[in-house]
Amino acid sequence: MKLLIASNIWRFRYLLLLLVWRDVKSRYKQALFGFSWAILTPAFQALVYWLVFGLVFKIPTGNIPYLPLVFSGFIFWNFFSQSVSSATLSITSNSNLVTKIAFPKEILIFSSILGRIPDLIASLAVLIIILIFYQINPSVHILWVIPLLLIEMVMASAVGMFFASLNVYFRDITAVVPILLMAWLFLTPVIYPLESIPQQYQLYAKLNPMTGILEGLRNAVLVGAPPDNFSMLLSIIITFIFVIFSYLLFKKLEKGFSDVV
Amino acid sequence: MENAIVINNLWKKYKIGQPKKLGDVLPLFLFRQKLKEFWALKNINLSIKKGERLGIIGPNGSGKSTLLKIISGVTAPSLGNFTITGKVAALLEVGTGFHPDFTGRENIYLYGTIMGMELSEIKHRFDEIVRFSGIKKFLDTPVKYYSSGMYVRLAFSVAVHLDWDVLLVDEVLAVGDVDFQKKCLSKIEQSLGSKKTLILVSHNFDVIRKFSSKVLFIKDGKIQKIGKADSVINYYLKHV
Repeated sequence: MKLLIASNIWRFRYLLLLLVWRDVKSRYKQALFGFSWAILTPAFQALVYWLVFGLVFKIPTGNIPYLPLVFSGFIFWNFFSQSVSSATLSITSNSNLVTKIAFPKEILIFSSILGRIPDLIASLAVLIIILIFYQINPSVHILWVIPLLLIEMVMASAVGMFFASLNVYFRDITAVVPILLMAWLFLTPVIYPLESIPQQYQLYAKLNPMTGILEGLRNAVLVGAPPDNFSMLLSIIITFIFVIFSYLLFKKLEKGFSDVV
Repeated sequence: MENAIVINNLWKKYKIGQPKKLGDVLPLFLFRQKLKEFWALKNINLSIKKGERLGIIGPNGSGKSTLLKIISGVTAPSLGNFTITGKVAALLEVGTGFHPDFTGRENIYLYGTIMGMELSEIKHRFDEIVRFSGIKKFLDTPVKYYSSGMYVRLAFSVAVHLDWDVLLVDEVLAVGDVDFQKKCLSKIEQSLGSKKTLILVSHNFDVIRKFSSKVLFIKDGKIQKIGKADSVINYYLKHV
């Protein structure tokens, strides 16, 4: 099955690249501030949560100041949630391609996720400035960011394929996904550290694969430590099961896309 | 001679009024209502040899376009199967595979890549494609601002420069002006050769006569008659 995905992508690699490029280009052409939204969005989110939880409620965050904690949380979370949002719409919004051309439709899912990478890189640049300001020195463990982001992308494509294929048949999904992503944001340690979850609930929190991914990413960047083995393993297993399930569902429903969309 | 396309007992069903909201699904589920079905193609059996040029005629809604859509792989048959040997290029609707927000230049690349061309191949033929289309001036304009004639010109220019074994053409030519139509038809004629297969859907009997070695008349999703151009066209004129 994995081989099948790989050969499909390889055969349509130029189409994938062109779609990514189109996605990135059209996004920044239309918005007034263009590329700067990639930085302004997490900055604004971080600022709001920093005011509320950092200054007013004063969440205990251990050795790490709240601002870098919440900012790094948001850039890694936004990469996931924006990937999922655009992947969900990718089949229906490309109906002119879907109804007229024979190609593996997962290309549209992958292109909407890859199209989010420029945003991520731009916001990572800001994160580095914040790290310098707070005098947080990175260690070699910062390299964990790369495999962790890959797992995050796999998870995003799993969720994206799941909702995108259902969205072709039921447009209600378009309305459901943002609500679900908001709930998911609060259930994942993005605006708070994992430690602030009571001990007896931590296992449940770790069943959410985004917990291991987000904590791992934050550990790598802010603490300079490798990810927690147990959380990471759990995240990888759940992500893997989910991506297989999603892919099979997607491939099953794909046959009807061009007739229904 | 080897077969290019073989179609066995192929049926295609469409459901009328496919629900798009969960609210529409509930009554279907609760009262066990069934969606209305429409068979666009009924038991199609057909084999097309390499190098053959098949013209397809039939009234609107007879299943011509559905058949081409299935052969091109855009939609799947409901029953039956088909096999194709070789690369398929399809011009099913005007601007098939074009993206409205992309410029003419970008769409040449997009369409080429969709047809499985390598980037280097497209680059290599790019100037030729542009020259053929005659719309060099608008190359960097998004195609959504193109007139339908320009759209067809660009689409066709890319398609005729593709490397294909089977070309599917669905009444696309009707939109271009007479000169461009002639230019395209002669280009297709040049590239046809003995091993390339053409399937052409048209209401223009002159074009059908000129290009087809065999004509298929389809109506109500069923093959009515297949054979030499003149006899099938005469049969068609009597029976429609």
